[in-house]
Amino acid sequence: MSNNPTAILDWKPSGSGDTLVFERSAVQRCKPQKLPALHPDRLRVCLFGESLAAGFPLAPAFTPAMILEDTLRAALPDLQIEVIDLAMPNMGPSEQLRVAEAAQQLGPDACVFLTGNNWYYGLTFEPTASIEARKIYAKEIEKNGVRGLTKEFRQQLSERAEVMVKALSATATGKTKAYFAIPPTNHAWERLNPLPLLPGDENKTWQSLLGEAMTAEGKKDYTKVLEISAAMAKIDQGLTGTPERFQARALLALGKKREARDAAMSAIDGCNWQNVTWALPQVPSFVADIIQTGAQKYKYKSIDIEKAFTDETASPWHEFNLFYDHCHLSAEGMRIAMARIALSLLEDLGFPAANMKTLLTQAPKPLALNLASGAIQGAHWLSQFYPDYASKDGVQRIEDSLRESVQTHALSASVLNDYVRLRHLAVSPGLSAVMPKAAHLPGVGAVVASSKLNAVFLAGALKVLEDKGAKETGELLAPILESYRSRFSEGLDLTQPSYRTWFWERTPTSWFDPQERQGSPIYRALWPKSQFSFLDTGASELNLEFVFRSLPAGRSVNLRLNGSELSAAKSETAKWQTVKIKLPQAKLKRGLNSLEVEWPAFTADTSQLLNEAKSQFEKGSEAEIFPVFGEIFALRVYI
Amino acid sequence: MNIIGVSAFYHESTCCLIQDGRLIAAVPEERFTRVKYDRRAPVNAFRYCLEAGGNLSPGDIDCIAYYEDPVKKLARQKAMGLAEHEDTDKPERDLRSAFGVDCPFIAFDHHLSHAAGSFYFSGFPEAAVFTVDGVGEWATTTYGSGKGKDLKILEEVHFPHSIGLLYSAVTDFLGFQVLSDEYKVMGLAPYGKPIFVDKIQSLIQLGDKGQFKLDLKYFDFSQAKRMFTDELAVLLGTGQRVKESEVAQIHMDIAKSLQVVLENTLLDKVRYLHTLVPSDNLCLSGGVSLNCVANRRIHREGPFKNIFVQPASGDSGSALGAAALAHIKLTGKRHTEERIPHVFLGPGYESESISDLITQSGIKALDFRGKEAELLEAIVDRLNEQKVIGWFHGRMEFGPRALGARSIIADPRDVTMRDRLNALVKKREGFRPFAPVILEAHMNEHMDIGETSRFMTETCLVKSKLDLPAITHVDGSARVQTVDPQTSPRFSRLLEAFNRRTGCPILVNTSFNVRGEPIVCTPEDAIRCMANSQIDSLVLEDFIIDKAQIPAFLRKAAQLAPGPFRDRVESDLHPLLSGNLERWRPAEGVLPEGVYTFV
Repeated sequence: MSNNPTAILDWKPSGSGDTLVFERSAVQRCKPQKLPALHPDRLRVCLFGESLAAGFPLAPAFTPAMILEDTLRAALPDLQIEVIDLAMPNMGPSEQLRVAEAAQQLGPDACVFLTGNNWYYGLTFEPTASIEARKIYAKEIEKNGVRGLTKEFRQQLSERAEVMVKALSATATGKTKAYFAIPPTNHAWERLNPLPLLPGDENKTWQSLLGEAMTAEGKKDYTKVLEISAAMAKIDQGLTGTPERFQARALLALGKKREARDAAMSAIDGCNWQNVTWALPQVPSFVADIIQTGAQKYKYKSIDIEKAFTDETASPWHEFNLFYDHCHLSAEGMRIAMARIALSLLEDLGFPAANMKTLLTQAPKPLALNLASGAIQGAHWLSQFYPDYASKDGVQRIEDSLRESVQTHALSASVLNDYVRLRHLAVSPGLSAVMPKAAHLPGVGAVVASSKLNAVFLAGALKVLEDKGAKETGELLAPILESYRSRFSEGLDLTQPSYRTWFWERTPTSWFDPQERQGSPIYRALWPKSQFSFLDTGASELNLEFVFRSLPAGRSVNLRLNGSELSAAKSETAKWQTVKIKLPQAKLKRGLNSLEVEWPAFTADTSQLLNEAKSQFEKGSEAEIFPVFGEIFALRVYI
Repeated sequence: MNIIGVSAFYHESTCCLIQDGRLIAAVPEERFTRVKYDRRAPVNAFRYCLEAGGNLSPGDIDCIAYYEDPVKKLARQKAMGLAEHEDTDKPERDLRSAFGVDCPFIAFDHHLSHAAGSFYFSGFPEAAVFTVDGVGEWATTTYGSGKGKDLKILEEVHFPHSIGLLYSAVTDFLGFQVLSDEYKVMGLAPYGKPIFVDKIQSLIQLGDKGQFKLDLKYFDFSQAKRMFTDELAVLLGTGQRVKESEVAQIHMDIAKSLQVVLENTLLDKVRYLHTLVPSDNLCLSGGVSLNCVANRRIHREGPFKNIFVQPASGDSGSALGAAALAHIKLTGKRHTEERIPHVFLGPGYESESISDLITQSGIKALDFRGKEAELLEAIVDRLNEQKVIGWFHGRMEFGPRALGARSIIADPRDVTMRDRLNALVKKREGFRPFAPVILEAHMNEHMDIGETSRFMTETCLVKSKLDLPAITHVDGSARVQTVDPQTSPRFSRLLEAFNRRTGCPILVNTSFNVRGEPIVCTPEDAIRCMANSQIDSLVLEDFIIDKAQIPAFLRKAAQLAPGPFRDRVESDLHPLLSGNLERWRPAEGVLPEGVYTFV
């Protein structure tokens, strides 16, 4: 490394030698700060990591670095202690390594790496893979079918994790001690992944079992759910994580929390490869094992945050009380995690008398404002991902989170109010006059400014506002409904990403651009059912133009409006066809309306499709590895 | 019959629709995605074309006409070591997948598409056709002839010998963006002296007939990041200008010399073409035909009496050419014998929806619905007060020039206007000139032009008695747009109103965007652009929004880049992770602004 001082993340050097300081502006963080390069009188801890370690969604007001610093200071009041925040949302592995290397300039006593969630960056399956990567896919498909792809992904991620623990720990030299805190995972975070193309009848059988599992779950017949999901697991062998998710829920319902936890981790391992839903930042179990076992090899201390959660909550099943989403911690989760890290540091400093109970008492608590903001952000995040087979649970969870926010801080109700008002179709939220009010609650701007209808979040917001006694929710909604009616006069296409009920319904080629119709103008159904939402006054009947194609020909595509059957659209040929259907007033609701498309069963020859995919990968092109039930070009509602 | 013409996957992806012989719509994808020169499959543009064609479905499309031959192109890319894939069917398959079409897919040669994009829209019954760009498949320059429905390429110059690449390489050397900023070099040239002409000329050797050769020791086209070798710096006696650094006199001199060499070369080759095709008419196309200064010299000094330049002569225009070729292939007939009357081929917006937008944005606008005369007088009031106006009216223009649908307009008589527009409104380099728009009835009083110039494809000398500092370039020239009442009625009436008040039938007309941003498409884009610049007033169809009526919050919101959530990008792989390198690195340009990730 050069002797010239270099920036460490957003800390910029100025001065030199004894006067060298690192500064960061108030723009990126809560306040401007100055930091001497060397400070022998202080115990200096550097905290590294991604968004989890940076404190999303409570940052910048409440961050793990702040909690750790206050907790350590409370435990050792006579010592000058500083925890330097070197975490940053969206930081990938290369940048993590560079930050860790640059941080040596600060001469830290301890480096705490709370990282691993983003190590998958760049190991993306699609759509940005190189020619070489796609050739590897082709070879793997040739040898092992689609399972070869997951195997390849896991091998690559394992190799990367090994490099990361080795390289990050190597940056802690001399007196500096390295600590790796293993990021915990929300066991209850649900994700629905479709089954990729498998040979023979396996896709058909799997789909059929999926339906049976959902039925059994609806009847609370958990033994049956376990039996069916075992059969599903036999087919997909960890490809989707979906059967394991059914198992986790069933086991939890049966009171078997430890087994449920194990099933949930298998589900996370199974779905966490880069397929149709992007690989969310999470640490799969094989990466956690690498961090754990690397401790001895590379001379660092590993800290098991999951175990700390288990100890503190007396439960191996960890969910939304500790997490806002799939990996980001709630305020309570952060406090426990930081107390556990503080405990390890204190033990090494020769203060073995410290214990979690005391440290947790001393760990700071967030302001109500931050909790309220976090609850809204968490609910919004969840609302975009929660799969419909668990929607009842998910919808309730979102509503609960919004209610909690409203109860925690008075501003929340006005933010929800703004959210509703911003569903108006005349202007995108970014330019609406409503925005300045939403900005009062930190961090929720992006939620309120989202251009998605987001039926689940909207329903939750309306319910919470009504329950709070807001008399004017009808009045609040009226101009929004009118704006939809106004748009219907031009025709409103529900296949636009804004009106797809579930975020994960995006198609593989358009996955990276959630707000725009990028990659494909066509809605491709990867599930037997597709669901869309819109708002309406319900004042009179509407019309629907449905432009679709579906295989096989000669079968019916069923449409439902608010759960009620509409006339079926018969798929006469495999070509595009346009069907015009009335949406009768009697079936329309004032407020949110749901339109569901049910496709005929998938019957195409999967072996042939898989061969086509392989041949495209061989040439370096993208390929579809999931069955497509049907395609919609337009689902246009008009007056 | 519905034919979709497409150019895509290289630069400024575009879709157009020819329906029953009529050009219904044409628009580049960038206008929708707000990603400048967006090269991805033009899915939004495709959807717009279908909507403009009467809510068509993909099943209504009879043919996709593609603007180049993927097999030949891939062969050239592989020879250069620049292939992004090894699949000659990829463009077809990607477009079929993106558009959902199962109609015939017909690919035409790149330069044939350019040629067709000019000839079949020129209204000439017969013409010589000259296409010049960087490179298509192998051809970089072609000489052809068109007669009726027949279009023939008679001679080609092949890669790596390319006038376009020569211009781009020097553009690169001058610290500007290749495939984007070549027009800046053209604008810079009049500030310089042609003292490097001999040296630049030594880079290109004119050959027999239509041929020429580049001296390849000065060029390296096999790398994406730098198009020239160190030898070029030695030849010119200076290093590459650092991007965004000050433009020095030497840079202007190099620009001028390059422009001189370009013009001389083109003139020489046009004269050769005339010996091949002794017609009165010449059609120009290809990216080099965006050089309106060279076009003027060709027109003035060349052997052809009449010239037509495709208004979007870059790759966008070749989407039109491909569609026109497909029409002939499918019907046996040229789609039209008429000259393209206008290029208002993009989305338009009704005043009613704009009214809703204004209300919901909390903006107090002046409403002139049903009162056009008053609207125009109110605009003239503002122009006369030296205000800069954002003008949004009708369907968006196709092509790189704002022609009175998405324009920024101002008083050309104001001596401070050019600097003000460059610095505060367009946020761009101070040397760049602005174009005038003039009523056709008055054009010969003020411009040494002779013929109409509705698509701003040529420059001319300003000969006005009026002092017009904002539109007169340092060499006394201007890239003029002439306006006629038939194709631009309201814009014409605005010019008439301004003329009545001031005696000046001319306005500054520049594209409605700020640096680095595509021209605005929607009313929202226009409001955002106004709020993010020093545009004083915005005319949105029948409404006027004055700057003071833009709430402070909106000005702040406008500074935030619109578009999808995109955050940090790992642009540089750490060496320790190189084991994953081959998987990590995405194919270049797949995602224009990096990999989309989440926290």
